Amino acid sequence: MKNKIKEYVLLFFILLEFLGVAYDGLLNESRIIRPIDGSYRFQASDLPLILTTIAFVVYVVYLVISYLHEVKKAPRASKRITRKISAKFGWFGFFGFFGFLGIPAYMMQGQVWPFFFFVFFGFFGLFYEAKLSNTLMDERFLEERKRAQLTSYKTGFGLLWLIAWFMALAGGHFNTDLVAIIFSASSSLIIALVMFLKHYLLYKYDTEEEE
Amino acid sequence: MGVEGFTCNLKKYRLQKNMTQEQLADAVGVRRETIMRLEKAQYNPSLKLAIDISRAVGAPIEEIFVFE
Repeated sequence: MKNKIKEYVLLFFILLEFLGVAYDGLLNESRIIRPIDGSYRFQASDLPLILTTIAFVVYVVYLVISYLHEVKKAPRASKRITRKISAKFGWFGFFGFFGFLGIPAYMMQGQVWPFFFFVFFGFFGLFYEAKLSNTLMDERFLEERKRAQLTSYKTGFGLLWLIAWFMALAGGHFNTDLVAIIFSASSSLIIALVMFLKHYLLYKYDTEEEE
Repeated sequence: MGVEGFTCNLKKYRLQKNMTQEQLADAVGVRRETIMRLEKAQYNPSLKLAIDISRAVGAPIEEIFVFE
């Protein structure tokens, strides 16, 4: 019931954000949607979008913190049982698409940090972790978990090495901004991939040979 | 795909003992899926698990797990 309420509240905030953007675009001359520079002067008409955005961000932060709290306190019958989590947490992976905001943010304001949102793609792995939720961790499970972790780390380090190699060859032709963009986007995507692969491969190894 | 050179006669001894996979799994502290993989010779068990299974089904370890 509590989780249902959280979902409805999140949907409410998303809807509110859309309404706020529509209001700003249609009735407030896009004062907040457009890039804000030093000439910006606050007007009361800016408040709806500012407040809805702040409320939305605060609520998302609250959800992430409550998720981390839930994960930490997840009930376990013993240390040999995997944690019990809901597949719904996998939906956090969609926040990874906010990473693409880095493109307009850089073009309009020279900001690079939104590319770090790509790391949220890793949360898609929770869909697979949830499938193995509350499972007895016997010796085969532990072996497969080590195998999955090793493969995902090897993949991540391999990709990181490829990026470093590419930058060593071509980096001299790029300006500092582009180097920052490539490293922030690629490192975020690699971490997301490792987070995802760890759970996906474990699920795959655990089920692939069953009939 | 099984483990190369590994044959497992666990199913024969388990059925002789009238045990289900679930019961054997509970007796030796593993998942039913692990017993299933063992019976298909798709998993190479640790020495401890092999001994536990041997005791649970009451058969010699070298007759249950055969390595060529």
